[in-house]
Amino acid sequence: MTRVLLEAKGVTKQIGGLTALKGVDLAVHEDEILGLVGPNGAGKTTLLNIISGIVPATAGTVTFMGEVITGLPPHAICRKGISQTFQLALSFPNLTALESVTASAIFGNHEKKKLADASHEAENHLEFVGFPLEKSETPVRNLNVVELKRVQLARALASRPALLLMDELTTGLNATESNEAVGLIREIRKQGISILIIEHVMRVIMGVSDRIVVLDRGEKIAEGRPYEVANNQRVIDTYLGDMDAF
Amino acid sequence: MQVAKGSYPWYSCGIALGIAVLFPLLAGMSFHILNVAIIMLIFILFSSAWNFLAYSGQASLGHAAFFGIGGYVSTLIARSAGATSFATILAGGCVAAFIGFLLGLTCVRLKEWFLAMVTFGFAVILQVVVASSLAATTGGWDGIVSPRLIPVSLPNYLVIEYYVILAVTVVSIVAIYLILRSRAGLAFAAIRENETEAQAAGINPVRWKLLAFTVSSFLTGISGALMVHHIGFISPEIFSADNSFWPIIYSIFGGLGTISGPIIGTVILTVVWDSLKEMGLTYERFVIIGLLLIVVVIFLPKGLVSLPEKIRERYAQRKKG
Ligand SMILES: Nc1ncnc2c1ncn2[C@@H]1O[C@H](COP(=O)(O)OP(=O)(O)O)[C@@H](O)[C@H]1O
Ligand SMILES: [Mg+2]
Repeated sequence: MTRVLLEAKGVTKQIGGLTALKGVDLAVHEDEILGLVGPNGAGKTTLLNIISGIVPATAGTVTFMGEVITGLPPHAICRKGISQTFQLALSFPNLTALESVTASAIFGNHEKKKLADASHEAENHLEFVGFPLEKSETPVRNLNVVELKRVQLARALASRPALLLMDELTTGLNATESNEAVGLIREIRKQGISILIIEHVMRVIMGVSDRIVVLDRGEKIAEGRPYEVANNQRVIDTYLGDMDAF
Repeated sequence: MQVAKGSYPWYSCGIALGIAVLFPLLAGMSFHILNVAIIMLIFILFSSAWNFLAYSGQASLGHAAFFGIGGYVSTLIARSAGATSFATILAGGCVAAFIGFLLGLTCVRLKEWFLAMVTFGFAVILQVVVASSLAATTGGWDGIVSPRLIPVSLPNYLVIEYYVILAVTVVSIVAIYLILRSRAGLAFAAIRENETEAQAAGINPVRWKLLAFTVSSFLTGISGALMVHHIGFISPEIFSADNSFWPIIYSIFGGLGTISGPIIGTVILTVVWDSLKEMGLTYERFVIIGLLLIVVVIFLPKGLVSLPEKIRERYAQRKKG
């Protein structure tokens, strides 16, 4: 097995009286695509936001490239090499698609670069994710869901991360579009970027993940290769009332 | 959108600048008109400074505080030095910037409305402190004489004053333009549009908001210093809510988050305001300006600068339908 890139240990999150996460352990290895699944409200987004620093953990630690990053602000974590796409893609409504991605190309890492160079880089990222370049100068608020998701992905890639966190990238996409997304995810991994991907739809994640972690009501209930997880009795029971997720 | 590229064609800047440079000649050296024009220039700078802060998503309801700090610091130094100079004005700007930085430190983590309330409260407190606790140096509510920017003994002193203030204003606005077109402008806009996503893109909101706060306070302090040296007098009235609200009104009227918005807003509202007074409508003008503001906010939420765009849209629609 390759080296561990990211390790979360005993991550717990208390929100009011609710325990959104109960001592979750999780590791992402170098060059790995790790799938994170679970029914709605399982705590997937919360776990992702704790890793990226947007939400503070109640307990537990997150280690990235051997360094504890728990408690660091999100912009610092981004610059260390973790970037994130959001489940609810809002982006920067009044900035253009190109500006949104350029911001990340400039500020997302420690390289010093000129605005013009960053803008050029941003254009390459937009092209890579299949964003229609003729809409580069369109304010993000005028884009459709699919275009917004592409901007999100380009923005996340523009900081040149070592680890990419993706929250329900294919939700809201049709079958063709999600197949395209899966192709993109594989392409991204080929560039040496490890991926932690959340999907509600099992079909998508089964095909693309090397390993899968299953969360239910804040607890890790299974972990393993896709076929192992798919045949795990506890996972099947959890998903029983939610067959359309398969 | 980031400071719209290409929407400031050189010829329109050139025409505006040309009019501004030739204005004292066109105005026939009328003392009153020149005075109005000078105050207008100062408010263009003040509004642009306020708008610069708003560009980073921060709304101040108490910018009179920095206006007054700049005025008092420059006045007190000029009085002890015997004359007003660029150094005293710069000192006014720097102290305003420093205090803006300190206030920013306590404020930048607050959400919009709290920030607005804190700045508003700060101006109120400052007024009381300057009027009472510091009365020995500031002359209390009676105020003190502020050495003129250009000595009244010089021939055409008001025209010289006009050009000095025009130069400071133009240089400041060019500086604002260059900052907003740089990476800093992109950081400000990203923070304003979506702070969480900005952080996810590696932008440290605290650092950039503080920078915006400091630069804005600096320019506001400069404008305050220019104002009191032009009037030749300063009192705690300078911290009044009027002075906090006018830059906001001018900016919103002209167009928030644009370079030309505060300029156009200040020019048009000043001209309307002063003409109404000339017409004897001293009290009615509050109502008229209020109505004008309501009409613009409702029909042109992006301010007067969006009027051409709006007309083009209408025209295109009519062509289609
Ligand atoms: N800010 C919040 N305030 C209150 N409850 C929250 C908040 N964020 C998440 N939760 C709750 O925490 C649980 C986990 O949510 P989430 O991580 O979004 O789940 P998932 O992404 O797996 O659907 C849910 O019960 C959700 O309602
Ligand atoms: Mg979620």
